[in-house]
Amino acid sequence: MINLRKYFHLTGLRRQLVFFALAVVIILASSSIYSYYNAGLINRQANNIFQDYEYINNLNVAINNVEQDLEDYLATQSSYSLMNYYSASNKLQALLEQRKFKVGTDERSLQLEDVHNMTAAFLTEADAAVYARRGNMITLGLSHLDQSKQIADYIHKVMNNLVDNTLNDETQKYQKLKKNTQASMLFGTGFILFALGLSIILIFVFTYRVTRPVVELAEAAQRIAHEDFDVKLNENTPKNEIGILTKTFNQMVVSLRNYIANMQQKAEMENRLKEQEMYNLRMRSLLRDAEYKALQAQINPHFFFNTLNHAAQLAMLEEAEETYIFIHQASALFRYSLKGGENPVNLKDEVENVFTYANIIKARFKDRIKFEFEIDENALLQPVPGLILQPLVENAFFHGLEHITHQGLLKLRVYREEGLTRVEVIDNGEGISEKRLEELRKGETDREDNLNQMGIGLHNVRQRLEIFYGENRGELLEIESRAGLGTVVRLNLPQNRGSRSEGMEYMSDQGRERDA
Amino acid sequence: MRRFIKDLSKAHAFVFIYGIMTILLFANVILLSMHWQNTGSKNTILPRYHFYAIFPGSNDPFWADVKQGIVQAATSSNVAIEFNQLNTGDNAGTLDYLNIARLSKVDGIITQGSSDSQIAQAINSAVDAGIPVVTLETDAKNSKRKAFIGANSYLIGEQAARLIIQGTSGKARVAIIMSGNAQTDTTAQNSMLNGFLTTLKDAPDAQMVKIYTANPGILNTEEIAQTILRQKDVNAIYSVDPLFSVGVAQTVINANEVGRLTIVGYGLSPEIESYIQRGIIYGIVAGNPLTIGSDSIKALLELKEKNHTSSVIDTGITMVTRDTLANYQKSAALVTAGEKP
Repeated sequence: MINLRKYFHLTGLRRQLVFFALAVVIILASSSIYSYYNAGLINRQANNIFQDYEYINNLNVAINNVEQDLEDYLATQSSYSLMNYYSASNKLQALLEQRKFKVGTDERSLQLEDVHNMTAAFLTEADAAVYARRGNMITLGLSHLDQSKQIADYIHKVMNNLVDNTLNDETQKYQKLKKNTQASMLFGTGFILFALGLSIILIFVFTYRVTRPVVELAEAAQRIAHEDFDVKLNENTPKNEIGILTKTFNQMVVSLRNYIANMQQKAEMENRLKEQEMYNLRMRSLLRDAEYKALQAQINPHFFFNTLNHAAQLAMLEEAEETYIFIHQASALFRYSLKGGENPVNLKDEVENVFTYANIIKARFKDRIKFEFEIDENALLQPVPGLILQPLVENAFFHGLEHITHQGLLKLRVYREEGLTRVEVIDNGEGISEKRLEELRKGETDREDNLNQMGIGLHNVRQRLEIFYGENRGELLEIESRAGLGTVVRLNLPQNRGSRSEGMEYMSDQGRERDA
Repeated sequence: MRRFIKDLSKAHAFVFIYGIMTILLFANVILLSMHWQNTGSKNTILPRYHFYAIFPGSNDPFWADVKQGIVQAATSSNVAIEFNQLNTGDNAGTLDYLNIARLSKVDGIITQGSSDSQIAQAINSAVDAGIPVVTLETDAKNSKRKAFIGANSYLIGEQAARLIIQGTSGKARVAIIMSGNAQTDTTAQNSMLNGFLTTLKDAPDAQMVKIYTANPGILNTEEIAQTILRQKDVNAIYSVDPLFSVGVAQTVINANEVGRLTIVGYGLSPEIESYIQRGIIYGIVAGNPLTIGSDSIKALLELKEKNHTSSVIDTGITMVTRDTLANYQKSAALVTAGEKP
């Protein structure tokens, strides 16, 4: 029972399917039922006609038989013919009883009634004749026979009329039936064609209605499979499972789109992180570069310092004070260099380092080079990356002053202006050509060119400044030069460090690692 | 087509299909119920009585109207009538049918009367067997018939004579054509002739020239009519049978003697009406066949239910001339439509 009930649980698509199938079935069944009804009608009418014929014929035969048997008996008086007479008479009576008389007002019913009544009269006379004959009252028997014959004649007369009428009526009925049959056949054919056409139309329309959303769904799914997510199905769908499917599909597409957008965002972020990492790597490599250069000068720092210290002690024992100072300063210079540029230092440290360096140069070149320092003490607490001044001074010395014939002047100037701490390294050397100056300003250096030590130094300093203060802080390093007159390299250091703190942190990390 | 499908696929397609389904379901149920009902027996109302009518054939317009009157009355009172129509003057046939009716134990017999003694005997035996018999149009006076329904013959003759006098302005020389077969109720004919002649005497200049006797039938009448036409002193004809009237009128037309003779007949038919309309027949005297028919049923019903009715029922006379034809036709149309005038 429960199993059966599930077949009648009609919802949504199922109900639609059942509904349309029923519609088609009913339409087609109607045409069949109509044909069945018509066939039944025609069959019944034809049957009636033939039954009428049969009945009238049987009646006629039965009456004739009774008549004949009666005459036979009266002539032969054999018990056999009497039996025959009774059986024939019974048959006739049974036949008469078959028909319910007084059934209609039509002529044939009335005539049948006449026949019925007359037959009763006839049988009475016939029985009287038989009775008389058995009682040997021959005259009376013959008189009754005559009477019965007379009545039989009447019966035949009416029967003839009845047969005539029957033929007439039934022929008319048959003609009418023929006409009706033709008409109903025509109508039936038309009806069947109509039902067929309607069913076919219904089938097509219904199939289209049911499958259209499915087809659309399939097409949309295909588009999504080809990575086209800009799909939106028409939500005006029938309220069935397919409608739900369509709505769900639309929701799914939206979710999918959101998900993909999220993924893209994530990828972008990762990309940016990677870029950042690349940046850090680049900075580290620059630092390595600087370190490498510093190390070039420090073959074996410990041995070197020990040697220098020993030399200084020797100079003191031999009471050569100048030598002692020189060695001592050289040692300080190397130590500062070795300390590395990783940790930020004060401008003061840098200036002191330059001072030491100047003393060493002075000891070497005596009065050929003159150093001047113009320092604003307030600016000295400015934090700066380490080893940025010494390369500039070195550059000025080696490229600007080394080959000149007049007395060289190298001036370091530190002052504050417009919220900036400016550091200038000024020389009156041979200067830099316009072309070369342009290259330096752009930072384009040919790293393959070994002769361009200065370029590398400047480039290194500029990049480290940019990392330290941030790239968008204006011109951090300026070069002005005029051939034959000298060069000014100016650092414009912001007093407050910029937002670009990552570089700083990174450097601090490096330092910590190294300290550990 | 496309639009139809489009409409179908819209929401009201469901309404459309529901409609068709409902209609078809109803049609199916009705068809099937009709099918099953038809296989059952017919439920017709049984007629109250079975009456038996014997009179001449329906090619006679008078008897056709009588039949119509009977059918109308029978239908409205739920009575079945079995008609047995013979050729005019078939006395043997009438006799047979009377016996058949008696043996068939019908509830009542309507027949045209006759002076024939055999017929009177047959009527008597039917009445003795308890079957009431009424006679129409012509009586069977010497029988035990329960009632006669028809016009008063004497009056018919009287009115015919009046028409003749009227049509000839009193100077009538009349030839009479009478029905001459055995079945004819001679008493009725005599009574009619009596009425005719008596009335004719009222006009001093009118006189009867000769009485011809013919068997009914147009050909018989034409022969007599030609004989009459040859007698130049005859200026009027009175024919007692509708078929005679038609025969005489045709003969007059053929002989190109229209207007010389004043023709007065008995009984109406559409053909006679058209002759009256054209002035060939001056006028006719007619019984009222529809009334005769319906009154015969009434008389039989009275006999069945009250066991008594008046012995003679006069159904009256209608006279139709060219002037009164239109009125007659109007009232006849009303009667035929089933309403009493």
